[in-house]
Amino acid sequence: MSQHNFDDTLNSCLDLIQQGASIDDCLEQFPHASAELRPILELTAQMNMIEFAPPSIPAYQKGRNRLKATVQAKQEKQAETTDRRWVGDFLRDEIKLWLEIFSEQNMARRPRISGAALASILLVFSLFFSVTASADSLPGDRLYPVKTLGQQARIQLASSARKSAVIAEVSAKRADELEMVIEDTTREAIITLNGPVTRISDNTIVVEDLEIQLNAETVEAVRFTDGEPIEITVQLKNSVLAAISIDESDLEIEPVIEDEPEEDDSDADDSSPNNDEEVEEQDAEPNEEPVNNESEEEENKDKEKEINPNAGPGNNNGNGNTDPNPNAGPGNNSGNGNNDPNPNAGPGNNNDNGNNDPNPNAGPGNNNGNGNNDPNPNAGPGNNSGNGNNDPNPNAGPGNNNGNANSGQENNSNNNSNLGQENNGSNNSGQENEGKKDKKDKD
Amino acid sequence: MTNEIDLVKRAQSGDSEAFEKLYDRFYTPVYTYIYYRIGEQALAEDLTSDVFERMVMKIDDWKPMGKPFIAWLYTIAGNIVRNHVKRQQRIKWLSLNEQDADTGENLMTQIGKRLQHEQLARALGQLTEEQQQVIILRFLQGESIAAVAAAIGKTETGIKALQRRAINSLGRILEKDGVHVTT
Repeated sequence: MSQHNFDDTLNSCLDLIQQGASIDDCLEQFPHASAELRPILELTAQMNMIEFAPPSIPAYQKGRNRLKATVQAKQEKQAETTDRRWVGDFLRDEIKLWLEIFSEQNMARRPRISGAALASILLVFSLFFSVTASADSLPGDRLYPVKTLGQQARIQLASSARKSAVIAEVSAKRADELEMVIEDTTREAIITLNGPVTRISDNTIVVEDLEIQLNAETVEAVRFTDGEPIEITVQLKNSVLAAISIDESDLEIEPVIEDEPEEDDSDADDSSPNNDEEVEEQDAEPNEEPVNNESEEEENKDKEKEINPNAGPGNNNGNGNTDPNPNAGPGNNSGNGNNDPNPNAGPGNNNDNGNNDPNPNAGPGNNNGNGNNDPNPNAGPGNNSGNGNNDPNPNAGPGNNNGNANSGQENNSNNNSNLGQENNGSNNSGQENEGKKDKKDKD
Repeated sequence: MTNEIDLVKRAQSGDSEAFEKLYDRFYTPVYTYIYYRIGEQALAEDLTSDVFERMVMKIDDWKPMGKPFIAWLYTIAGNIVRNHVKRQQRIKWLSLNEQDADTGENLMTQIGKRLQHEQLARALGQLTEEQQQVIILRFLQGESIAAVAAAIGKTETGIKALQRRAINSLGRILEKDGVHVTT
């Protein structure tokens, strides 16, 4: 017997067993392969004895809320990254160009400004409107980095004669802003300050006229003498500045307001199915058979097919589906006597909906007594019972789906075959729909 | 799969509703897959939630390469289970729950099942990703060959060969671990 024929024979046996046939029944039908089939079918029977616990509705809802929070956090992070990148890159390029244009050497050599440079200058003017919009922002605000970049640009563009005056002016303004922020007890931020240090006591120093508390970790770092420039990162909370780290400074760098500390997302990398760590782990695990033994298989051609999201283990009796089965949000949906679509969907109890139109009571939960005359996709993990429909009723998903008396073209009483690709619960079968408990009893 | 691809593309563009629809659609299959790999409901629920969190974070990496979206989620789920098992060193198994009490089965039977699940899960962990998927979908969830082919992104002929290799490998691993699979 060729391998290909044996694969077909084995598959036929598995189908028969899933329909409720015994191992001996199968082997009788394929006596020529019984020696090879028996151990496989016996292992299959043992696996069928393993029980399945469907997911709980609270866990489903909790996971859904977590998903929403993750999506929101991702969107906020992306928006912030985009803003920063745009402003940072643009300003850097423009400042560089301005410096080039207005430097004395270039002005002498090239008194006329090119069209491209002029356009660039106009863009910078328009950008200055954005910078103006950030004029009222304070440390910790989202627009404050734009403001500090503008100040940085002023310092860079100032002539060497005026540079120190501009630095002093910017520093004074910065100090005022910091004071305003510190007075606001509700603000929290991480701030980097640059300036000469003054020691007040063993646990207190002053930088940029601001008193900073030192803790056990940072007090040792104060090896600087009074007047020496330092760069210090502080945390502002309840109007108190506490040092986080201290280092030398060149005094040219402007204070930078950073975000609240972000979690290290390096762990997220291991979610990628293709990352090195994952591959390493996969390789580390012994496989009884080489991975490449699937090379003989053809690639899937059925790209248009969909999978049933409402699939899973459980007993699903009397269901006849061929249609997609939309699951939606949670809630209890009962007693809706509508003649129009009644999208009461989601995990929860969906009971007694006497609709004559599609009634997608779906999701994990109990979906009972829905007397519909049209598609009634009561689906998802849970119990789906007593749905007297005259049209496709894809009651599927983990749980018990009993007594759904459908008479639509897809519904065959006691001959339930969820053939639609979207509806393939673990035991969504017709004559073979005996559930795992039945199998266990037989075996 | 066209609608599925559209949905994923919407999610990739930041549509939060699309993410929620993906969650609703694939929650149960992902949970089931993880449950059979670890055998504990609460833990399977937590790890399923982890899968969807990573789906959000990594969805930009997904491209329609002929395989369905669920195949990608199974891969993430497999990685998460593997990492979890590695971290924990040992896996906790099915605890007694109300369902067990309701069945009225005796304690020895329940213990026997827990051990069997543990052995199976350990053996599953030694199979290739696709072999694990076919064992869980075809043998444990009782899916049809057509449904498994759609979920894994292979032809039915390919799945027939894969299921034979998978079950033979699983049998050998279990025998090696001292589990007698014959009745």
